Amino acid sequence: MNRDLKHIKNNNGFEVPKDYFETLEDQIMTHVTLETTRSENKNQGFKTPDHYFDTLEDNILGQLETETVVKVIPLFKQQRFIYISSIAAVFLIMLAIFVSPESDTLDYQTVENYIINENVDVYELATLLTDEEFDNIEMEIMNSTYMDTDMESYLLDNANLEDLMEQ
Amino acid sequence: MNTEQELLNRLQSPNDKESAFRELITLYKERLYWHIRKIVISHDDADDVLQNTFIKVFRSIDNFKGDSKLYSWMYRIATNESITYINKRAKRMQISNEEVQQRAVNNLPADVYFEGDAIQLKLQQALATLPQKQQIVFNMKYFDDLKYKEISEILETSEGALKASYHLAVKKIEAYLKSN
Repeated sequence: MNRDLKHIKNNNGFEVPKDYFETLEDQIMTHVTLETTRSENKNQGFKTPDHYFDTLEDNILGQLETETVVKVIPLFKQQRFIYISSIAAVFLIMLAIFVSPESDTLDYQTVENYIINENVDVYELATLLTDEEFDNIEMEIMNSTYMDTDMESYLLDNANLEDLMEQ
Repeated sequence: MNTEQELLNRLQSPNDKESAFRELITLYKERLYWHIRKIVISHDDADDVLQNTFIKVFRSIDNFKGDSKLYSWMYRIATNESITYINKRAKRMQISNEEVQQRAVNNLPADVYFEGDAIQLKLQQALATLPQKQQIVFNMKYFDDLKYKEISEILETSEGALKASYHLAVKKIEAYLKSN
């Protein structure tokens, strides 16, 4: 083993990864670019409309006031929502039963996707019915043997809690 | 009693709640806005999420127990609201969260509320290639200059995992900037 200091000095045992020095300029320049771009503009080129922050408090407090007013929902409306949801559920169940998956027309999934993607809500579905039909279905549901637990499981499986809270 | 505790007491008292809430908005609106904006990219989306965030804060402030700092708690709500907003959009469009981000960044050159230069745009493009969690950690550490301890409180993730996420994010961004 060559132990003289001159040899040790020239072969100190330390190594660098392959191509380390070849790519070092790029590495450092990328760091510098990142640092410069950070210090130049904290918001990274994003901006807001003029006076956006000046009116924000009023906008948010205004929303809260509107919400407080909207929160008072007559019981009848709540019931009506449940009836309409039930109609939508019956409608989807009927489609699932009568439209077979092999059919080359419409299948259950397609209709459900359509209703979800096109944002067709229960109120729109309800507009397809006349008042008389609506009353009949309402009576039918009232007289039906559906239990509260059935409704609960349907809502658990199909309804979005946030959407219901918004109603 | 410190200022935050005083503000919290007022926020939780029925008589003073509204004026204290207005102060809270004034105090945090810009910080939260920019945090949200960097996640959801467009101003309109950031505005929606910011308003949802403050409304959620208003509704939940009575249940805030002071286990973490008020601002950490609000940052957490803002982060969760931003993620939920992107997830909902992804679900509606039937694409992945990353694709939602990618599309938002692709719209930046035409966005009237973006005036970044080429390198800032490139940085946003690089960020959009990262998984959501890494993007958020990078934004909080790199742009907002938050300490790992603070980020850890906000995201409820260990400091070690955050450091790993951040270093991974930096490596990927640097690789992207070099190759594009």
